[in-house]
Amino acid sequence: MAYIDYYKVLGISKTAGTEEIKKAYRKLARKFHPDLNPDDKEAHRKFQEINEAHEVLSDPEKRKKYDQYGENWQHAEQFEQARSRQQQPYGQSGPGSGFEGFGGAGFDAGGFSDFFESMFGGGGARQSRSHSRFKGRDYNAELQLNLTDAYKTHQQTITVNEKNVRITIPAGIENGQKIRLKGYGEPGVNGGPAGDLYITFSIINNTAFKRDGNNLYLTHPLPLYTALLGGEVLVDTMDGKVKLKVKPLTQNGSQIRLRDKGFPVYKKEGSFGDLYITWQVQLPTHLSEKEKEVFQQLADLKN
Amino acid sequence: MQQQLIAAKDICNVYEIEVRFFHDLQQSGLINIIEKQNVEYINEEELEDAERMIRLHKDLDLNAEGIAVICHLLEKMKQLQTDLSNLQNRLRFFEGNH
Repeated sequence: MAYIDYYKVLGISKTAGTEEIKKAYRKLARKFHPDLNPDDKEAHRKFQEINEAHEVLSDPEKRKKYDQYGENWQHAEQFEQARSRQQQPYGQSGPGSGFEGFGGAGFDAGGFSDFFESMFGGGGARQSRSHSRFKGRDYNAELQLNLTDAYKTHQQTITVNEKNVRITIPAGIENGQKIRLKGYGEPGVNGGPAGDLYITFSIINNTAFKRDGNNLYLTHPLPLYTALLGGEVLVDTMDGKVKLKVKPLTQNGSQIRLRDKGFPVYKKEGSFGDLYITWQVQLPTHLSEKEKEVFQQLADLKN
Repeated sequence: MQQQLIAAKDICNVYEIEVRFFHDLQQSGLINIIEKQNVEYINEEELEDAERMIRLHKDLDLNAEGIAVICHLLEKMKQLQTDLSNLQNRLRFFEGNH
């Protein structure tokens, strides 16, 4: 646990007055305020730091204690206990009595560093008015899904703060999509409603298909003779194999569309995108003498 | 679905702000105040936004006009992030990483 130089955090001198502290805090808060930097963990961390510095330096008692012990903060408790023993009649000093006077117990000191907690105790964080809350905090979670799982509406149980929450994931969910579960966040404060739970989905493609929105794309090998003479080929789709008729003289790289064989449209039951198959004609990598002879005959025919 | 209403004065008590601030927000088109039997309420669905605006007001000393500008820019930023996410998904498609 390292000493934190709160003056350095706010970029002010040790002789800075109340107005200067406030000004420095506001300037940095405008830059790093979490509401102005959503999803930016570094800005959140920085804001906590400047908030903590402001919490200490704007409170005369805390500032006095901080200035008094400085880098010797680790001995602050011992010093104060010794002093209170000297000042109070024998037998009246209780554990932790040296830390009283910085606000009562039961305040939410969350978001403060170990250094702060160690110096001012858990009850040391006066609940500043700006950090009052009504609605509980929102929770954010990330859930990884295989593409095959995202294809079907299904249920999953996730653990949020040691509580199991069963959620229904609608088919067709997109990579990076966020869903909100109302009331599954932190309980409300002062009679306010609970926060929400936001789940961001990260879809891992465990198939040979490529997904572009609701459409799927697949490159499928096509035997040379089927491409030339036509025939039938079995092709995978997300819900099983289908038999496709291949026209004679099908070109390499040509594409066919299988209507409604793509990905389900999110929250539109029974509605699907399309599947596009790109034929990749397989040329032989080895020819027997006989085959060479026949191909030569074909070549001669063309010439 | 029935909308959940929260008395504006309850929120004001918690945050130690005046109800007038909510009126300023309403005038700037940032929140809707619903009045029923002379009591002012806000819809629970708007509570998160309202709390964000209160924090901006208290932490950064911003008035309703300043908050309106920020909310507008945050909304734009959110839209750009959604666009970026969609484009990244499309890029994955062309890069062959599925």
